[in-house]
Amino acid sequence: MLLSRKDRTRPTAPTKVRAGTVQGSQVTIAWRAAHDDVKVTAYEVWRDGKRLARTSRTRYTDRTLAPGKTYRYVIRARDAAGNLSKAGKAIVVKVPAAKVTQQQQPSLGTGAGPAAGTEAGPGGTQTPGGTPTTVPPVTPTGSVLTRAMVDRMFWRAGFGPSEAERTTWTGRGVDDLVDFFLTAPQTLDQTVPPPVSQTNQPIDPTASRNDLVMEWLDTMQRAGNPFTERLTFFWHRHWAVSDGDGLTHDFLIPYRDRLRKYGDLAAHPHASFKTLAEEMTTADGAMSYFLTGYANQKGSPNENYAREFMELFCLGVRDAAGTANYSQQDVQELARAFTGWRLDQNPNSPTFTNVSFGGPSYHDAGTKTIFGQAAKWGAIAGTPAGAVSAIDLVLAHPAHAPFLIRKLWAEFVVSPLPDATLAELAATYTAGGAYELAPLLRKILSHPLIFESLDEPNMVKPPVVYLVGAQRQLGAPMKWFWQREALANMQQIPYSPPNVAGWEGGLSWLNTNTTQARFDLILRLLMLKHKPSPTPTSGSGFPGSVPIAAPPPGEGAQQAFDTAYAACTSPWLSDATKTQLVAFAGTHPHATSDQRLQRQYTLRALILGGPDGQVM
Amino acid sequence: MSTTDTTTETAGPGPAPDRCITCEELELARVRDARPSQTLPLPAAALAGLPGGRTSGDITRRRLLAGGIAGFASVYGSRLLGFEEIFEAAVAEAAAPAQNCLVMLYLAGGNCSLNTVLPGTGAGADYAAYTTARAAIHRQHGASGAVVGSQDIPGAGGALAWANPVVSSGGGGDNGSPTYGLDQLYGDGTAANSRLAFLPAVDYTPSNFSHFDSADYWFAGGLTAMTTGWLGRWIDQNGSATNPLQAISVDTALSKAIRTSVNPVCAIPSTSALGFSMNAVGGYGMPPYPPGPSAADINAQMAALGALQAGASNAYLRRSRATYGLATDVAAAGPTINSQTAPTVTYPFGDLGDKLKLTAQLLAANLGTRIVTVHWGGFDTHGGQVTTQDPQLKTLSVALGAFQADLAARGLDQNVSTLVFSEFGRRVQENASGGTDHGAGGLMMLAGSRVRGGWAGEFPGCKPADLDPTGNLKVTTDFRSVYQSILTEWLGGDTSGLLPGSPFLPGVNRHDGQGNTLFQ
Repeated sequence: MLLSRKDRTRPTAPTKVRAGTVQGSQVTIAWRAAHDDVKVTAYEVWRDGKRLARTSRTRYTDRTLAPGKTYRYVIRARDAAGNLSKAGKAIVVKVPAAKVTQQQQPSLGTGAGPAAGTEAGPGGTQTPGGTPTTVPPVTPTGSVLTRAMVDRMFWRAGFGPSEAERTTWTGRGVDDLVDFFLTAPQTLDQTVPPPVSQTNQPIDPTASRNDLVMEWLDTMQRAGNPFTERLTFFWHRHWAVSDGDGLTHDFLIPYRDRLRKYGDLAAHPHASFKTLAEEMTTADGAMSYFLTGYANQKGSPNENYAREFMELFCLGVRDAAGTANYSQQDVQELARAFTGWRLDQNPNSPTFTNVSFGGPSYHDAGTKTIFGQAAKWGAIAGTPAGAVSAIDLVLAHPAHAPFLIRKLWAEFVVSPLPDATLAELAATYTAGGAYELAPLLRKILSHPLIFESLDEPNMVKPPVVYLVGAQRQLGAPMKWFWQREALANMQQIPYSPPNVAGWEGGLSWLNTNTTQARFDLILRLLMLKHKPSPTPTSGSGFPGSVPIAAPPPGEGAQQAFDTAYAACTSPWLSDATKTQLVAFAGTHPHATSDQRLQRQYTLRALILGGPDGQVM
Repeated sequence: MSTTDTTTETAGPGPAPDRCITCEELELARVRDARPSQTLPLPAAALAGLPGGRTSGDITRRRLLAGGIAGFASVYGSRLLGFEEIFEAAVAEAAAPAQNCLVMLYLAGGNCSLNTVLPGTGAGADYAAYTTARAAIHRQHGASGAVVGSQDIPGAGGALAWANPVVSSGGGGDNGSPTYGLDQLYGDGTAANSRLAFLPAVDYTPSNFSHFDSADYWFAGGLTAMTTGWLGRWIDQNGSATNPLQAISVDTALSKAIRTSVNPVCAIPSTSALGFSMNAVGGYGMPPYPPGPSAADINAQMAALGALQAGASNAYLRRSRATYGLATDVAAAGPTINSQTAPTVTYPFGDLGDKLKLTAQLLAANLGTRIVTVHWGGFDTHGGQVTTQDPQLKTLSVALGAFQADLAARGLDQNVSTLVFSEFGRRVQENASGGTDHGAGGLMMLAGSRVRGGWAGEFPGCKPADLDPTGNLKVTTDFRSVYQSILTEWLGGDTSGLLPGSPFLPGVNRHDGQGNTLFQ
């Protein structure tokens, strides 16, 4: 049945909005039902100018309050056609200052359980719900690395530890390991077999998208200093381009290599966000193509890049208090400042994919007013490309440092960033107007909160980290489309973020499809690790792979578990999980050698591909 | 993207073609730049026929979920929807008289049309050119022997023939089914008896031989990149603001064809998902599990791991365990949903059969579905074509026959039509690897009880003089004119402006003096 006439009538605004008593970090807001000519289907709860939640009931409990803060709520009603009422009367809730430190919970949206219930959070970008004024308690660990701490550092800043790395680093100082990540030159493990095609031939990253992705994954697997690849991949998430619209390897390989200059801090100790921003604006062909910077020329301004520069790359739409960071006017004027950079799109040209300055006929050299400041803004200062740098101006905006630092922090730490820490990090980052990355990353990686919840890891492994981690845990090779297809099912393929905002991350990585994909990945890797190719050019199995050693007759449950566990590089599992798995091993048939082998495969799949394997 | 995959050649044998650089990892035209806004549990009760009638008052979330979960839909839409909102909308729409539904079956890779429908016994010169160009992989006429055979298509004067892999054994073909096959759907090709219309050389010009670009055009319904699909735009213009089940991709991700800008649509991978099994689809070469209660099914074990308590403040591990647990619910509900809605027909084993079976089930649930998309890969036959394409053709023909029979048994066949297409055809001239490379002018088919069956488009001929300058079949029907017919004749509603650039030439031309409609 088709909608025959569009419903354009708004519901009435909800009335009698009232708040209950604040209890800890939560308060319940309730209101009287609104009315609509058709039907009110939901209410939206807005807090401090941002939509917080949607519910079909006439009450909502906000559990993300921070002590000492004041919040302003309005409620709006909506109907089935999406018409939104005017805001009901606002109410203000004041949260008493904390007497006892409390651990903050992240905003959960729909949380665990059947999704799309009657209370639906925005589900999109979640900013941490307020910042505590004191640092939450952390397992006291000191500055000497225990084995668990080594694992934690290598997962958060790398792709998981090898036994060798555990041996090397246990007992040494946290600062030493952080120093290693920031200063150790990259070495690539040559004992890892190279990835191959369907017919076991070497891959060619310039020949297919599949091989291009494998090339990067392979470097991640081999990296002696994994942090450089993690940070490089972060920059890919941040300065996101996607290969969906004509971006070939010609653009993407230089783009990735450029980002690596800002990920490999050992090779580039003074790498700065400022230079990165300048390069992305004036030198990177992939970015110019993806966000149509090349089309932004004098007389025909194109705001695409300028808008994302402020919204996604440097400032964010609003600051923590909800104030807009820039206006439409600022976007337009920034676009004018960024004019003049041309892209060679001719595949037959020797300078194909190069970005170069087109000169005064392409660059709008006039005066522009950005953030209320009038000047002959350009992209880089003191060159024909602009007397004064608009990039410097944007980076100097007070919203920039908190915006970038929060994002970097969240890459490595789940706990919200304490205000005091943010201030300290911002001071380090902006010191001398240098926007250097190494001092900032050093402080983040050295912060005690990186050991949050050490005995029960609490950050979801993004698909790329999970995949490369599992490759390393099993010592598995890469072949054909196996890895890329697995990443597609887990919803993260390098070079293919869903849009310019990158990947949302966090809890959104886990849904019933992706959990099955994560489990399925382990089956693929077990195959690649243990099934030899039937013929030299066969599509299944991997040349040189060896079957799992036959478990002995009479192998007990604990023994079976121990063997499987060690083969997976003894990853973290909760004690309860280990108990479950040993019990399972006991009930699994094991009379024949085939059955004992199956038990090994199954245990390894459960260890690496089960729920505990998804957190780090 | 697409670096070019072919060199420009004159007709006839040319230099060895470039290796197809994108063929190893076809993405089956999934939407890469859309993320589901939410996941919707599909209540088993709803899919088995809502208990207590279909009025809104009978539906409550608790009642529906009490019957177990049959699967999950990933919903793509511009805003979040409430659970009750969706089912109330679906039920309200389902209460209306049955509406026409299109099932879109995309064969990914570029199906070789000339080895599906080839010159028949009455087309001597074309057949000679065909066998010359395809010395290794051509079909012969009649029964299969050392060379795969073909059967003339009735009513065409022997101009064209079905390759035996798509013909039922009852019709003298090889597909292994006595009663299901393209020949059975086609019948004698008269409007009264035929439930299959075919168009032999459908494409756009100038042809672009890239999988991704071509597929994008077919899904967008236009020759530029678009952010919506042609069917998605129909949904935006005629569909519901609250029912994501109005258009379903039977897949883990959304088909570009139904990508909308406003209205919600969804992707449903299965309702009988295996959950967690050591016998993974595709077989990973682990030792076979013994018969009997299979240790391969580890859903119970995974559910147990998922049920473990995580620390109160560890939302992430809690979520991980809960999601694994939810996934096992699907497997638990599977047997129930299947026993309640089991088809009376047997589908061929494998992905296509499973997807069409689920399609029939979803349509039978009558939740306001107007469009279903199914993508099926494996047609990019650059080498060893006879060994790779023929099994696919057999499965395709049996599956389509079974699907039609299933729809008829469920009383749905008057309102469902199935469109089958591929993103391009293949070159007339075979290559040195016993296969063919990307070409133009593929085969398009429409199947259904209300399809005006028969031969619906011109066969351009495959003699060298009849080919286009690149050595490919000339395109005799623009694919968008077929889309236009489907929109105006079958889906209906407001179809203005959905396909930019009309009129599309060449259009549908049936040459039978009864007009150019595709439906009765």
